[in-house]
Amino acid sequence: MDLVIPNFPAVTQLAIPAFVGLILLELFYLRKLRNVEGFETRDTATSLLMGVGNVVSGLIFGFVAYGVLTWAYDFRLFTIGFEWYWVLICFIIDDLRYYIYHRIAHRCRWVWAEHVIHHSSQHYNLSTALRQSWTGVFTGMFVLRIPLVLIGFHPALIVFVGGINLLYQFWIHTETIGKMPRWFEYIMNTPSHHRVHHATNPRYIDANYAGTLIIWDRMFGTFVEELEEDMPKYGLVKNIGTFNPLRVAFHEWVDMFRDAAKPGLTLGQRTRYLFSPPGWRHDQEVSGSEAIKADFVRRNPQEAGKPGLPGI
Amino acid sequence: MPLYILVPMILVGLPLVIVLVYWTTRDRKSEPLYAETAKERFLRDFPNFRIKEVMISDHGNSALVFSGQGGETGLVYEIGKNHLTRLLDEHTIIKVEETKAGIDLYVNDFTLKKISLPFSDVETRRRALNQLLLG
Repeated sequence: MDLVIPNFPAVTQLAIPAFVGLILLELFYLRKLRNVEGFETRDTATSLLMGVGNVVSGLIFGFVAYGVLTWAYDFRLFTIGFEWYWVLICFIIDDLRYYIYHRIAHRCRWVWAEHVIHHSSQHYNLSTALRQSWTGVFTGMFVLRIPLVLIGFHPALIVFVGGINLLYQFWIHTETIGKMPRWFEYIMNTPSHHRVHHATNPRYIDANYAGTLIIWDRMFGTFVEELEEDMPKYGLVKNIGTFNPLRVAFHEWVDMFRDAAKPGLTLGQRTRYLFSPPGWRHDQEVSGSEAIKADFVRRNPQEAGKPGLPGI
Repeated sequence: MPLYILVPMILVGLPLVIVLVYWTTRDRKSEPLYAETAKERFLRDFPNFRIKEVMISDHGNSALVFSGQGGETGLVYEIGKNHLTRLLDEHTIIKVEETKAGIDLYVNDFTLKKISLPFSDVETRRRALNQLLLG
């Protein structure tokens, strides 16, 4: 019997009115009820334009990724249907796939070059959630979905659950929500956990990669709790100096290729500038986030060995 | 979703958000820098830098920090309501120009190619310039 493929909705596109409504609600809440300014016009405009660019780029280039998945589907081990429990199982496996992708995105400069866009705002509000890359397809990370296809999940289902995952991640980009009930914080990714992920405080760098379920970080040792005594400071270790969407979209690609093309480097060093963790330098023994954490511990030895920080 | 729904939704929704953000925040500038706040901001990103001197530009929108004679130079620079920091060394600075309003720095940075530091006081401007060129 042939598999009948349901007509899955494009959830992230359908959610656009909700995105707009919730951003306005957060804006109103911060301004009128808390009397703080969590938004800035140019920053918000840039985030929204990056979001639009991401949708356009997805419409133009998404077929490449989908084509590869569809091709791989011919080699599947099983044929899995679309019953609700398969959708749930697919969602959970895909969430693990997202964790792996996200961890690679922070530890391999080739992928960081596209993901850095999402971290480039010094603000943290719902509009930050929409600040997305235009060059995701070019990193080739869609191949991480191939194992799901080979198991037998249909590409349409994989795209659908991926959309639900992104939809979930929208609401966690806010400072208006403190901590959720303890059981929820234990299982699910929350605003508190994700604030840690967006922070540049040494203990928070390279932590909380989860999409929907925080259990992956707890399982793989990358979970760090948000501390009241170390409130997150958002942005990048080296913040960008522009609101121009084109420069925001391509700045890390430009920096990366400039670094790799520096005169006098060996082929190995050039390759490492492309694929080593962000901040790697050929003339430093320890660089990037490891250097930042080690330096913090050297200055604050009482913090050594605490979550997110190395021992002495 | 059909494009005839998606496109108008984006064309209406996004400008609406931007206009309302502008209307509610009036795009106030960042807090002007003072020696202490400039130091604090710079040390957040470069905690091992030993600051000997801070020079705040006119209106307090940017600051140069120096680690001493012939030492390192750092920058705290307004970007929207926030500030960013840069270590200014021979690899970063392409050109330094004195203008009537202050100093223009041309730097090797894709997101911030030119940095204008207003120093209307000639003596302060010259001193900053000397520090930059010596550093």
